[in-house]
Amino acid sequence: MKKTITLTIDGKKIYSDEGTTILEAARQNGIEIPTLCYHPRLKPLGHCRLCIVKIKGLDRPVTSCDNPVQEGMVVTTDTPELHDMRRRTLELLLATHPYEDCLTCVRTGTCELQEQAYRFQSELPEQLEREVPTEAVSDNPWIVRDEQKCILCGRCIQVCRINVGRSVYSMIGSGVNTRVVPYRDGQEVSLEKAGCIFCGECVDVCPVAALTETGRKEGGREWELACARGVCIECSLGCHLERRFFDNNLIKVTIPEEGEKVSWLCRRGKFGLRERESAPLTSVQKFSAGNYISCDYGEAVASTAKALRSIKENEGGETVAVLAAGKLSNEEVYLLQKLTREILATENIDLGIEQMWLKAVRRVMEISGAGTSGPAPRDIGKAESIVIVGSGLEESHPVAAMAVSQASRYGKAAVVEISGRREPLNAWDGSVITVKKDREGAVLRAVVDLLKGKESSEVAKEAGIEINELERIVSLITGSNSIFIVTPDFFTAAGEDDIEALIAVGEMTSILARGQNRMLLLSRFSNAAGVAVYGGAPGCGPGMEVIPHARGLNRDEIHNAIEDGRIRGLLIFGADNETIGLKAPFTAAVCGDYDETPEGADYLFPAQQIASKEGCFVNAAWQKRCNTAVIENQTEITSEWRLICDLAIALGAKWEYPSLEKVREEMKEKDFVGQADQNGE
Amino acid sequence: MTRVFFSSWDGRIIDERGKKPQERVNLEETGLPAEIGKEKLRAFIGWSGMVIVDPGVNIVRMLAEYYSKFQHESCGRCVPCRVGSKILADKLEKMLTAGGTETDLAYLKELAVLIRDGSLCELGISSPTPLLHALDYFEDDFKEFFNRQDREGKNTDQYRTVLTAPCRNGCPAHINVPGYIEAIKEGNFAEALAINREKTPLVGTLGRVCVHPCENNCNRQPYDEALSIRLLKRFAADYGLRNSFEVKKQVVQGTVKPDRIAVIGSGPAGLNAAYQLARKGYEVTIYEALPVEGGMLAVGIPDYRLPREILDYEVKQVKNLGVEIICNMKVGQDITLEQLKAEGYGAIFIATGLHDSAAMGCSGEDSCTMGYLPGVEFLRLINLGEKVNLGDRVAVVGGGNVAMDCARSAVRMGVNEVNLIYRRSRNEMPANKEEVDAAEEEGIIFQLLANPTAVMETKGCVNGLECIRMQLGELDASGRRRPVPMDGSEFKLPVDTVIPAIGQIADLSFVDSESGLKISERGTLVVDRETMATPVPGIFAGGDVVLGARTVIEAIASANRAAEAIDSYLKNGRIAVGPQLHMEGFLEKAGVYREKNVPEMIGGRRRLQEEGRPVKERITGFDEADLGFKYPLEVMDEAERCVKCLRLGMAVL
Repeated sequence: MKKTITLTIDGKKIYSDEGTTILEAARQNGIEIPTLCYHPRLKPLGHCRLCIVKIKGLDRPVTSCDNPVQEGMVVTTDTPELHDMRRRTLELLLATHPYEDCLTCVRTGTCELQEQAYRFQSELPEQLEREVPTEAVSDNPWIVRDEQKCILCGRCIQVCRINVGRSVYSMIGSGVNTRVVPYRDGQEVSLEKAGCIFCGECVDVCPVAALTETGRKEGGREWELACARGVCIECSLGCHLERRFFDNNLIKVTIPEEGEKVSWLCRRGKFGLRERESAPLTSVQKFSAGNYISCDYGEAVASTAKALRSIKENEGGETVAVLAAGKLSNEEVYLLQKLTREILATENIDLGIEQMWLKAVRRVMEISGAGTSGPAPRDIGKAESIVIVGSGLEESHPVAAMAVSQASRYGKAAVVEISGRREPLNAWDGSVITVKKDREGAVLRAVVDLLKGKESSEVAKEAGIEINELERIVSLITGSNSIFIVTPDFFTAAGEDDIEALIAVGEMTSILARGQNRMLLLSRFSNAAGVAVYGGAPGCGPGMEVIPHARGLNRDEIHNAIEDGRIRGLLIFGADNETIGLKAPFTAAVCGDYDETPEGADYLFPAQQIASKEGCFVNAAWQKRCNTAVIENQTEITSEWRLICDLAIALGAKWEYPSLEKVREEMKEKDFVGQADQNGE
Repeated sequence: MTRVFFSSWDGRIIDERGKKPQERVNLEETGLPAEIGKEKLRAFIGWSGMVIVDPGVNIVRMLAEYYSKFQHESCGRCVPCRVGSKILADKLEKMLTAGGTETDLAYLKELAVLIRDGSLCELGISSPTPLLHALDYFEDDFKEFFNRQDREGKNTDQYRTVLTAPCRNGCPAHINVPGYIEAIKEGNFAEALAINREKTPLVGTLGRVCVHPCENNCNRQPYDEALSIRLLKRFAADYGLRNSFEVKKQVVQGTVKPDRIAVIGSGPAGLNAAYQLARKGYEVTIYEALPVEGGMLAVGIPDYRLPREILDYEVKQVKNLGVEIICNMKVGQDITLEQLKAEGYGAIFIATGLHDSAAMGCSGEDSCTMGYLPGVEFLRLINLGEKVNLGDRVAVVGGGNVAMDCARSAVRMGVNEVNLIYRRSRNEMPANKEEVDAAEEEGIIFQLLANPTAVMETKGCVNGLECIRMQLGELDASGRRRPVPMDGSEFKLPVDTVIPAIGQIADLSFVDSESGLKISERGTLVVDRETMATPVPGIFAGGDVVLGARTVIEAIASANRAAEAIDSYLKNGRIAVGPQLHMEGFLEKAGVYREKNVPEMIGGRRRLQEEGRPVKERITGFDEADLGFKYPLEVMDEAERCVKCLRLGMAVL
């Protein structure tokens, strides 16, 4: 329990926890103090001097952002003197900021300097001469730096070091020629050379337009952008984000403003929208005489239904398969499995899940209980030891890797990676226990043996690792507050015994217990958890119910069966690189753009833009998060969940889902996943 | 005698402008020395005001110069200092040519107050002080200057600036303490290490064993506690070690020097001199008498205080610069000074340290063959891994750090009873307080106010120590009360080993009468303390062999000084140090830390405590006892307690 401190702010008696800053205490009590460099996700910097307050007994004003409350303190936040000092400080700042650019600046309207200058009615001073580059630097596809506009608040430097665990930026020079630049080994370098991973955290916290997204100039003033909280579907972590739209186009993605002090997005989450540049598919297409031609939606649905019904009736349901590679919403998964099982009468469904991942997940739930949430990236940040099993975390789940860096460099965590590679993650005190390719399971079994009390030298020898390495893992996982992160690479290669070893380690330590799950199991498919929970895998129905006697094919088996000619009808939802070459005698696919189009599919349905798509997803911590549509669907594109319903009806089903709400109501019956706190993380 | 014309230094106005020169008060009143190096002080302006000695000093020009420097030193973090100082400097600069008006002066005052009251750190808070004083007391001089026809006339005033802080000024080597604390505060540990390495490669060593005078000069003391500066330094060093931040040899065109330099001794002074000279581009060879590198750091400090891996890593940093260390090569025995000169070394730096123990001067001391082991020798033996048998009971004599090291090592070797005999009381012990506390925790029995009178023996083997009780009498030359024996208070301690650790002496057997080197009455080498030059051209000396038994940081300071002088000597034949050291020397005398006027701040924030192993565990062996700080965010919070008391001073010569 924190001690309560009593103080007075502007004549109001205030009770506050020990360690709270004066600024926080004031704001918690509805007293506003102006700030410019302060950011709720960062440690206070004290650079801008706007948050100064008077404290009884002290001659000089002090900054409220970085001074903790003290018993009996008497604080005044606004006096004519303070107001005057703030205004004049802002005028000094404006003397080094090119305010002539405000008219055309992309941050106009949301610029924090502009806001304060207006609030204090600052006069516009003469510009001081400075030795700061006049041209904006765009040395990468994602981030533009304009040093002229930089107000040296220091947020970018800090967010990069402390939240991301990198150290890309430094302040160099002195006086008015002080600059924030990417810096490495005593040299000013490009962002990339300074170790930037282009997560864009710095862009999100920049109060002015010193750091902006490349191409931000096109696409609307900041205040014209519609904004929607949502979930990232670039990987299975399911990070919380905000999407900003203008004129039906996604303009940028940011980290939600409120919430925990530490929060992340990665390059794919923040800038992913910029990386897909091929032409989007906008209308239904039919393959005819070697070419795709436009086709009426109703006709395509009817023809697809007809073809599938004919295949099912003539050759049996087992000759039909339904595939997706993750990224489907929970509702889509649910409806699609219902269509597959109830109408197409087949169990050949794989909407994006690894069998071994699913097995591990089932075992974890047996122990911790279904509905127990697992660790999220912010829990990684609080861990004291982190064991990573498998390689490729930086590539598959960059945010998890960032959280590991943060935890080890600035938190309390020691990191051990059991993997086939040699270089540790970007972590302080990180070490890699290198194993031969796909031998992570052997190390896990050795850990189990050691925990069971077997002689360590023997065990280590069997696993092919050094005794001290083995003992280090054991000491880490048996210590308090440890977390396991298991990467997709592990699941791709793992056998059943490897999964058993993984679970056994969890059970023998405090990592897995009833009501407790500290194992972050990462699938390579986005919303794999949603696929599992709502029945998108063979033999796994809604609520993760095991469907007895069901003999469905998984994705690899479906691939083989297509080659063998055993699959006659194929539905692909969300075509991607993996499905490009797939072609059954009858194939219909939903895809986003022409690049992902399966060659010679009979019908192509355009996928919906993320902007107009609604749906919920389950993140890696087993919590539900939803995307809401922010723009009206002005195109001809029918949403995927409607398409599934239309197909079902065309196939003769009596489905009645006037809205997604109806679907969700039906799903509730088997659901066990809790809603994530939307302000969390 | 140097007299004051005007002074506003340290909160006291001395205005002698109306008086005849001979009636003015002595400069001593201000606390400032009259000279910088060998030059006369004409004026000094800085954080605490201004002192004018010579009425001919051009005040407006002096202020313009000072505020231009202020802008240059502004770190750029906070707005009032970063931008305000630029405007001050520009306006003053403009006045030099174009003059000014009363409105300009009013604006300057307003801006100076904003910078003073609005800035983040003490640089911005304190630097406006002299301008405000000048505007208050020299307004007429400004106006006279504005009306002058020859404003741009010849100016012969010369300016020397120095940026310091109480902590930095208190550090004998003037390590940029506020600089690296700021880097730590921002989470930039690599930079923090690099700032330390400007002055020394021995960062992790100092982070463990330094006596940290910086902390005694910390302005936080009256409010709560000094910053934990030593441990912040240690954290930066440990971070560097774990992340392999290596010193790299920078080969810059034109910096490679033709001369080779020999350094005798690889202790802190020798290593540091070699490091600095190698960074300047010289080829340096160190001759080390012992089989191990590191001198006293290796054989004088036990591993539980300074683990060998730390020292090895730091010695490696020196070697990274191309420095060669030849061990088992004792000058005077394996090679002579003359031979070294004949090998073509352009300069020689002697840093052989104090590796012999002083005798206690009591009976029986010379006749024991078993059980009598001088402290320095004892530590050397255990550090070199030799087997030493101390028996069950030990008496260590002395109250300094060597005595603590001996006593605490004896405990770790399994000795049942360790007595520490010291002739004064605990308060007078010269050892670090941390060391004394740790020794007590580890069960060492303090025999205070006691002095040995006789070593007792049978057949050459020690079997006891006879001591006499002391009492404290009059103050002696060191300012401590002199211990006086109490007649008839003799008592006997039955012990198996006696370890005298009351002082160290130099082995100067390599100095012969023809060498030209001088030995002082204290048995140390005589040098010019400004340049560390011996009377023999080309031969310099530093560290304990010159200073007597002093500290690692003082050895480093003397070596840095010598390196500068050696560089100057080899480049242009002049044995001299640069203006920076002169300014630092001036401020050392003037003093920067003033308990009576520390800056205003909000107190009540205790310092971070380091992790330590429990006593029971640590006395079982020589593994490191104190573990330093562990978590970066906590360390950054500790650094955040620093209010950055930067002090910008400028002398007019």
